[in-house]
Amino acid sequence: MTRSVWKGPFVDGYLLKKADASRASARSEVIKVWSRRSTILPQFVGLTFGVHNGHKHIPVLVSEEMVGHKFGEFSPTRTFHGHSSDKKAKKSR
Amino acid sequence: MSEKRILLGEFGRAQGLRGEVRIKSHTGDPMSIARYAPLTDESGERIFRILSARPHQNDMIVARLDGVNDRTAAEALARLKIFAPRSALDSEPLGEGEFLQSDLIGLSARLVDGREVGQVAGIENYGAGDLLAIAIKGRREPALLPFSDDFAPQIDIQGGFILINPPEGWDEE
Repeated sequence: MTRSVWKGPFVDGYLLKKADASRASARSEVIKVWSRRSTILPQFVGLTFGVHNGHKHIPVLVSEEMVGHKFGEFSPTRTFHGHSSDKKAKKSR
Repeated sequence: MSEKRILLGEFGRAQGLRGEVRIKSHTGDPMSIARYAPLTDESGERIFRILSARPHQNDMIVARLDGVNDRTAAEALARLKIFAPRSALDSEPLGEGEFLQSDLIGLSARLVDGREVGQVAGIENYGAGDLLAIAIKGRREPALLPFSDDFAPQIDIQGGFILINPPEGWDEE
């Protein structure tokens, strides 16, 4: 069952404070986050969050397409390291 | 100096009695391994020529190879790794801001002030864009850095380095 619209998206309060502080300081930093359940809000676009996966913080550079998803979706708790072979890496803007 | 060889796949079990063999392909599209030539073993001495290939399951394909005509010959290939010279991958078109992962791996990571901090050990992607895994001396696990213009402003593959501008706290364990 989907979440009721009247409640708005769920975000842990401390995250908003950390994001505001990071924006105000205008420094390039990784905002450490343990709240995997929080929704990514439009005001987080452009910031880099280090989302904890139970082991370490995975850097997540928030882009517009990620708004509405949860932080935990971008920090898997189980990882598989494949081979590079002919795979490509694309630089984001 | 011999050319860098890229691991593209590995032979698996024989398929049927007519010399077909399964190949576990590490390429982006499993079938594209058949497009690259020459395919060799690790030493580069033995050359494999794929005559035909069809998809099997997941990243596995079934291929018929030149000179492999029965099951015994196909079984003899099991577990052999398949390589291609780096130049064979040049046929793949690269878009703007795109790099072959195998070109990036091994580059020395330098800060904008010229200090060397480590080496690119791999590329990860967990759904939020590519991440450079940088092996730092004295650290157990590689540090991850988003692969973006802001954090990796300059890449010089010929020069063997990548210039990084990491955010504060990126290399904390």
